[in-house]
Amino acid sequence: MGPTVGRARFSRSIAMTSFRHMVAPGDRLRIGTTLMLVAGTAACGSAGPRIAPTPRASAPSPCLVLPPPASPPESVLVAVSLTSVPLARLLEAQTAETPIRVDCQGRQYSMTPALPAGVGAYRIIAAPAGGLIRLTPTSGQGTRIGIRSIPRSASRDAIDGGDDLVITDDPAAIDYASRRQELASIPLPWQRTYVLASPRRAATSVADARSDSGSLLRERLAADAVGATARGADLAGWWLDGVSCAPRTPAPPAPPRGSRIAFDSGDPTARAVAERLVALANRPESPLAPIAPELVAARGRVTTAALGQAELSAALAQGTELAYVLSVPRDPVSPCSAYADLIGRAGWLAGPAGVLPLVDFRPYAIARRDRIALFADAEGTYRLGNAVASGAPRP
Amino acid sequence: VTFRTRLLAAFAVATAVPLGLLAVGVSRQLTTRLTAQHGLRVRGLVAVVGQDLARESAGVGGRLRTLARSLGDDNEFRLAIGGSGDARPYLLDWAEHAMPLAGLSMLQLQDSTGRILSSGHFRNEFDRLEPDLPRLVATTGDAGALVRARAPDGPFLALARVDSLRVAGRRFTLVGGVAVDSAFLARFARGGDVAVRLLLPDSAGADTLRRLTGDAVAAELPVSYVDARGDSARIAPARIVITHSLAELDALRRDVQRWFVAAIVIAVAGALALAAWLSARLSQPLAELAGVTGRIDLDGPDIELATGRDDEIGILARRLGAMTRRLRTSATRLRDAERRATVGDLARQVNHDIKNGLVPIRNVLRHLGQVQEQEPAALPGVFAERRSTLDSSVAYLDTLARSYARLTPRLEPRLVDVNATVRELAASVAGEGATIQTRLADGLPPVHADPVVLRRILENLLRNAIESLDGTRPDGAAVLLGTARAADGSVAISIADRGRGMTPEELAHAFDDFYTTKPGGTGLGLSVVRRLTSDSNGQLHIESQPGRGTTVTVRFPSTEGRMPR
Repeated sequence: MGPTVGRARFSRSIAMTSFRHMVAPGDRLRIGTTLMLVAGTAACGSAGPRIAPTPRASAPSPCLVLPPPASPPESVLVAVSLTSVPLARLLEAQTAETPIRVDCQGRQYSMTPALPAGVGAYRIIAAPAGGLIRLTPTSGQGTRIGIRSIPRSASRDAIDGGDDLVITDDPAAIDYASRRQELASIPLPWQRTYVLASPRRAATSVADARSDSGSLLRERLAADAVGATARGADLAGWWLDGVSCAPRTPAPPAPPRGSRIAFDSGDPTARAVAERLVALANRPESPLAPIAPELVAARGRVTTAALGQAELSAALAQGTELAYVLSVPRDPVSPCSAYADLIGRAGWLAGPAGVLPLVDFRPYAIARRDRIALFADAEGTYRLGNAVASGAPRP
Repeated sequence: VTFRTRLLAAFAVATAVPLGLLAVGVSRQLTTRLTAQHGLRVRGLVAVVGQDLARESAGVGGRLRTLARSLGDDNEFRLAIGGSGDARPYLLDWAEHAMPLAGLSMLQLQDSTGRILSSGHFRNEFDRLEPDLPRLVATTGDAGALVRARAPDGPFLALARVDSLRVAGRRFTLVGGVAVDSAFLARFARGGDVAVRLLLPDSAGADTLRRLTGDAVAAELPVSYVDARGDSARIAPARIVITHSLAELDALRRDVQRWFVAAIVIAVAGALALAAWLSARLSQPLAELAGVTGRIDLDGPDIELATGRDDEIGILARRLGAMTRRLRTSATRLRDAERRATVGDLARQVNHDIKNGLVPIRNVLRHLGQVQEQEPAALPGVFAERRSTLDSSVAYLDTLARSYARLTPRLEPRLVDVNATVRELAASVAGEGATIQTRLADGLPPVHADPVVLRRILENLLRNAIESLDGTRPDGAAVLLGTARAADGSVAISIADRGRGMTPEELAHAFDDFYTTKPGGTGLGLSVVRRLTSDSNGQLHIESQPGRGTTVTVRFPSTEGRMPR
């Protein structure tokens, strides 16, 4: 890691210190794991091609999703759909500040230190298991925030229940919010990319995937199978940079035992993508032939397989399924780190033909107007409240 | 085989055979009735299954009809099919939402070209062309068809119907159904021993099914099968096979048979016990009668044979009693006659013997009288001359009198040590010239006899043995006195000599009164021995060969177990 090790250790230690004092033991493990991943990602990212400080960005305009209210309320309630953004990551963004940030364009900048290094704008004062997590401004002034996680299907109930901000990827909730004038339904930056990974995938498929038919297919896949929270993915993803910075010979996968497309059973977007792939692969003249011939070769036998996370990880590591629909960060700060993480899950994913991006994903922020400010960056980090704006970017 | 055993066997046969026949008959009837009832029940269930299938198909058809009406009134749908881009998600999601609301597991909306517009069971299968599916399902009419439909995670089977609607001048088709899975089939079977299975065209036949499951096929309901997994749908005949397990019926039969056999066994056992009791009860009076009859002794005390029974056994007992009395009377008379005859013979014999003894005396006295009258002076000389004759005659008479006195001794039986008696006897004759040897068995039980009589018996026999040695074995041949215990428990006393022995003729008259081969013998010895032995309940056995000696064995019954009196 070279010179970045000290920074990574610093931010991790500060975060963990405050974390121990503010978070209940039940949530500590889950949140701590996320914190370490984020810290590790930041450390790795500093060694990637984008580590060089970027020019000062005009903050905060492009990253401001919801402007600060004219008269901030004493407290707001935030509901987060489980499938839209990890709760631990959202909490970490409020409670642990890093000297270097990424804007919504992916550019890095440093913050004017308004608080001691490593201390975020908020601190957690109560975190009951499965209940409302209460945050209060570290400065003692500002809007208090209550954050809770909800099932995807409960997003509309959260809106009707009076939550000030709901971050969700539920199409029904997004549509519902668009019909209510008092609500703002705002798409957040593209957060993740769903890719098709197949041990049978050939490198020649990459070129075919760049064709117009391939682009159209991805767009239709996003629009019809997933909906408003998706769009066709860009083929020139970070993994190509990752391949270049950390070349590695693909490990041979185990022989596929079936003709299934596996996905995380808790991810509805992955399910929709996988089901659409199955539908297309089993057609007589499959439009998948140019970009995923390995699926078409199994025409008539291709099915989906909804696997739990542990089961999916094991199957992915061995490469026993015909294909996998995976969710990866869309625009990680460090492609090398993301790539290392990706091929760490399955060695056979190494190489330019390892994954085929299909759709980009982003959740929506459904908010009551003039209640809370929301900033979002390219990493999918959301910062809440007026206290966030106090730190001014500097070159 | 005793009479009781015969009775028992007869009763056993008389009870077991009818019970066995009854068991076989009832068992067959039970089996037949059970099988018939089971068959009726299975046929009823088959009819119910058929009705349930028809009801399910009608239910699917009704729900599709409702969906079609609802869709016709749906403006969002109308906008979507009109090309409104905003309504396309609604169209894609319509079937996914409508399918569970209608209680269906399969729902597909197609346009007139067969393109899937919305699919409930496979939401993302839109835009696929599948015109054959509704066309083939429509050919099955109200019965519906079993459709092998695609789903993301694999094909599934559904009982499907088809309906259609027209919106904006365009025709749309709805294909919907309920999942046909094991739970669906089990619901038809309603538990129990009936199973509903599907025999699809590519599955095993009913025979294979029967062989694999061991169940009997109750009915096969034909149903159309549409396979929509491939590029184009195909229709083929399939069957819904209703099987019923024979295990429950067999178990019922076994239970019934088991209980029935148990009941029969108990009945037979009871009958046998009753037969044993009856045979014992019936044979007991006969056994008692036989026992009493066995104790009848015409010379003994009277035994009452008559019973209070009024049946045949009572009559038999009374008649036996009467017969015994008659026999006793006859025996008494016979014994009296024999006694009288014996006494007469004896009297005549005594008369003869006395006369024989008196004749010399009378002759001497007559002679002495003549001498006194004619030659008184010669009387002393003549008396002295004839005195020996008188003495001889008197001695003869005296001997005769003693002999007759010994003919009728009075018995006073008691337990007597045989070996001691034999030893005393051997000692009493010591020094008379003969060698007496004894060979006495140890541990002999005492015999029940008059010790004087026993002594007389043995003394007579020993005396005869000693006398039989005279002149034949001057070298001092021995007489062997021996005792032994016979196999039947009786005590045997043997007197064996190696004297002159007897011819068979002599042996035949050996026990006759007054028969003797010895000079001066009375011929009463063995006769008295026989009588005394008989009076003592003993047995007398004699073996003799001329020139080789004689062995006489006297047996007395064992007294073991008898209380001395």
